[in-house]
Amino acid sequence: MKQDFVKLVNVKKQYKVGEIIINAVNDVDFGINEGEFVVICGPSGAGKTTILNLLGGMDTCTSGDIYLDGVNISRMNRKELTNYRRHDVGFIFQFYNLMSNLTAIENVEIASEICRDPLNPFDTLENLGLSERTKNFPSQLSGGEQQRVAIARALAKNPKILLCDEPTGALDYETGKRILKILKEASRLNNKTVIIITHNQAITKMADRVIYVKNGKITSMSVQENPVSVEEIEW
Amino acid sequence: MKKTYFKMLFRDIKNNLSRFFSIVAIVALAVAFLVGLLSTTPDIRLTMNKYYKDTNTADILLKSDLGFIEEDIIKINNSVDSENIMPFVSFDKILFCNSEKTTSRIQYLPLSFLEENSFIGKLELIDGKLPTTENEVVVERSNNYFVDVKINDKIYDGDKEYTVVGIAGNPWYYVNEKEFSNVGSGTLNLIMYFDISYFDFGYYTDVYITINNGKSFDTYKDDYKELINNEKDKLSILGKDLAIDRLNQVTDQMKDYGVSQQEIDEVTNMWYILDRYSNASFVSLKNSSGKISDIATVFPLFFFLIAALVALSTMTRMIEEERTQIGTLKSLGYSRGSIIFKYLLYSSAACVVGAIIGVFTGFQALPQLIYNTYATMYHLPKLITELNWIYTVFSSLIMFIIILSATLFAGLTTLKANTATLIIQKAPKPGQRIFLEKIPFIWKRLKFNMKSSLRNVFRYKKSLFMVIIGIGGCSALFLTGLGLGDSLSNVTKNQYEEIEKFDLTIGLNTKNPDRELEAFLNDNTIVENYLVVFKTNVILTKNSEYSLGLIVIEDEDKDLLSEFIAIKHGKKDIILDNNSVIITKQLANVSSSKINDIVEIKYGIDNYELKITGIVDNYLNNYIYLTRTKFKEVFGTDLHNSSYIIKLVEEFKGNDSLSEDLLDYDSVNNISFNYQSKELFDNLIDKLSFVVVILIAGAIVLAIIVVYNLTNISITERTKEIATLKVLGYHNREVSKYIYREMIIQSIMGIAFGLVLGKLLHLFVISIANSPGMIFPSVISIYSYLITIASTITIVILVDLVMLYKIVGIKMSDSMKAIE
Repeated sequence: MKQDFVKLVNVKKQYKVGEIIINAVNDVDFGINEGEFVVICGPSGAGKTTILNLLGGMDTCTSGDIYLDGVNISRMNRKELTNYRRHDVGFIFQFYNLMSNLTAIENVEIASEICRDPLNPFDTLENLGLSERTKNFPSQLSGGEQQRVAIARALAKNPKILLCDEPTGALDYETGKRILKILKEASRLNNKTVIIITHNQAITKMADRVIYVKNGKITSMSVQENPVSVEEIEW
Repeated sequence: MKKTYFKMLFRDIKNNLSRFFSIVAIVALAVAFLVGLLSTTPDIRLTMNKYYKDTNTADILLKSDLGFIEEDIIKINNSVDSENIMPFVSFDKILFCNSEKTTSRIQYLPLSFLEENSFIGKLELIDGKLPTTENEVVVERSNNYFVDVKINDKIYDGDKEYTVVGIAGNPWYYVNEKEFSNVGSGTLNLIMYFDISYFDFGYYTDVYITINNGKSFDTYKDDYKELINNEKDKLSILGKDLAIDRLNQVTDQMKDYGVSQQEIDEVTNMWYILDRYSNASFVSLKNSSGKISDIATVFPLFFFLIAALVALSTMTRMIEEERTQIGTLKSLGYSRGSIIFKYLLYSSAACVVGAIIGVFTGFQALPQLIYNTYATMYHLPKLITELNWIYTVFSSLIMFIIILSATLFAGLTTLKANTATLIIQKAPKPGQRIFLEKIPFIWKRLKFNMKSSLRNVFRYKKSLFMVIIGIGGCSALFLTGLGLGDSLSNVTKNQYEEIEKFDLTIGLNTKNPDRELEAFLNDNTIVENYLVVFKTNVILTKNSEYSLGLIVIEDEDKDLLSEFIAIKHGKKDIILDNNSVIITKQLANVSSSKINDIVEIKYGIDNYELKITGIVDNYLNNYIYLTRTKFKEVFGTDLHNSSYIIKLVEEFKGNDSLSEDLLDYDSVNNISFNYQSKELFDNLIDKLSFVVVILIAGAIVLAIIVVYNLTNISITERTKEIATLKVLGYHNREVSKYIYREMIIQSIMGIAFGLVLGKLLHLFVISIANSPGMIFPSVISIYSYLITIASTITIVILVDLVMLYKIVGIKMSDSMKAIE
């Protein structure tokens, strides 16, 4: 297990709105080890989405360095970042973001087709219990099933990290728990580094590492030796 | 309406400025084109009517072989309802100008009265002054055919020397085309004017007459023609007697001079009563300006259709975006009417602004643009453009109805929805299988990018419909324009290569063929073959605008005719025999006749009935072909004028070197070469080509507007999709391909539709553009099809490339936004 698989050093992200400078991420440092299940928690506007965007190569930091598996992604140009997103990052959205005119399996293929080392799309869907639903359109799937397709899409890319933005935000309690279980298993079974953004504090109990963010700064970071299993969490 | 409501409206316009202007732009374009094109012909005619009024141009030109004496002039003046009468002298002669033999027309006019109201056909003195002696002369301004003469240049007539003192423009000669002459080369290279007061001829060769109240008529309309024809009939009757009197007077003088009886018997005297419809300049301009209005009526209709589409798509988009807002207003208790009223007001405002811009640019710009192209063909006065309120209201009203209907249609579907449904985010349209998926043979082979694109193409039906109509309409316009170009360029080719296979026509002034001339033709190596024909002009009784050439050949020559004139229908040859009455296609169309029908024509002052036995292809002018026997049978008399139609040996086809030799023969009255007529028509057709170019330009602009609009909407609607693809690691190039593939597929479908539509539209436009003297072939070359396809695709690709910046500009964070 690699130490500091993901590493942020002195990372700042500033926006200029007219004459006002907003420090969305204000000098953030932390490291994440390979295969960890990480929850980044904080209130709205704390900067957690910004951190996710930076990690996912969707935005560039104003200053500082970001490393993934030893590669400094903050020095990459737009093309290199696109390739980074293509091969090394799996993203899971709050609202699933599936292509509504593609079937479940095609939604996975649209991502796996462009990767250098993908997993078999059908297998990933099967592993998530969707073997019967591969030819359905998203409109014919429930919320939970759609999110599972989205996860399959992310996993099929065989990325180095999985970034999840409020993955259970649009789901009911039971379904949400099931999704979290899947994500946890992905982390355990495949040694994937999973980072989840949420403002739901209850979820932090299942994490290997918890990072609290407020006003663009890390207020605390802790490692939990014995995270609780999902079934035991209530919210 | 409440104050806040209007605040909202103005803010809406401000926030949606580009949308507002896209409707303004399309309305302005459509209205400008329609108003402009509709106004062009009326403006040209208005301008020319005033010109003829200001220059006091003749309504009737009277000529005779032996001229008129003073008493004749008085009798003429008394027999018609004349406003003014101006006799003068005119000869055609070969002179020396700039040390070259120049075929010239010399006119002796009462120039000292040029400023008076009684002077008919006022010359515009462009430079210099009027003649003050008998050796001073004013010369007609130069054009492609009239030599360029400068003031103080000398012109020589034998041992006489004339000095050019002025340059003038004559309203009888403003067309930049060949004027025919019966001397020299057969075409005029110079016209010059003397002051008749320095000369004493004792008789006049020509008389200009203006008719009372003639100026209050529109010279291009039928009632003017009727007025003039009445007066012409009076002159015709008077002429019968006066011509004989004059003939006797001259032959008596000839006897006194000891001229032989044989020569005296050869002398004839006829009156030629001409009007503006025999004037090359008048007819040329009338025809070419008339064509424009014919073609113009169809195209703007298309612009309107496209405008409707643009408005529909724009307003739909706008209303869709404000879904939640509308739902909120509904929940606040605003009625459906008051909600949609805002959008109607918005689009009406855009329509009004666009219509105003369109009308005020269109009514001047387009006619002026088209008129300017005439400058190469004619010397014309400054164009008068008149704002025609009927066209303005008509065009604007149509636009209004179209735009408001589109807005209503866009809004009604949204408004019908339940208030609650409006407030929630609209669910994306469910994915559907398309019929192509049922053919696994094809479907399996496709990359799923293509599968996704194809599904999308058929899924967004409204967008597909708009692209097909929009791109289809534009390709149709393109193809029609290019096809019209093909038709135009083939008319003279078809007529003068396939149908009229002869090269020149000699008109004789004797009753019988000239044997000496025939001997000359037989010996001349340039002449391949010749045929005697009898030609005369007749008019269609039903419609006097249709003048026809009656071509009569000797019975024994009936099999030879087809060597000179192709008388066929398609591939089938029509036989000419002593029972045949063969007419040309357009004549049949116009008189709605088929074989075995009767067509009634006027010859001289009497009407005759002819039973049609055959109809042949023809493109320019109209003819009836008979044998001499048949002619005598129908008309009861024999013919007076004979002509020769001559085929030249291949190398000499475009040459007029023969004419001087031919004109030496006394019996030869005039010569005309086919290549000259061909040039005449080619020039007219060039004029029409310009109009076609304008229309194609309009089609291109429309295509750009449509593609821009639809691509814009497509990209904006699918922001989240595009952002997600970027997050998934798609490069900008790949993302744009994903979006554009659909556009290209839809465009290809649109082009296919457009090609079919264009072919039909072309046939339709041709049928309108066809006129008494000219039929356009309905051929469209393969190149036109290819250019249409290539151009439309190019426009689509170019606009898409320009729109690339929008795709690039979509931020990935847009993918994560909940819809506000």
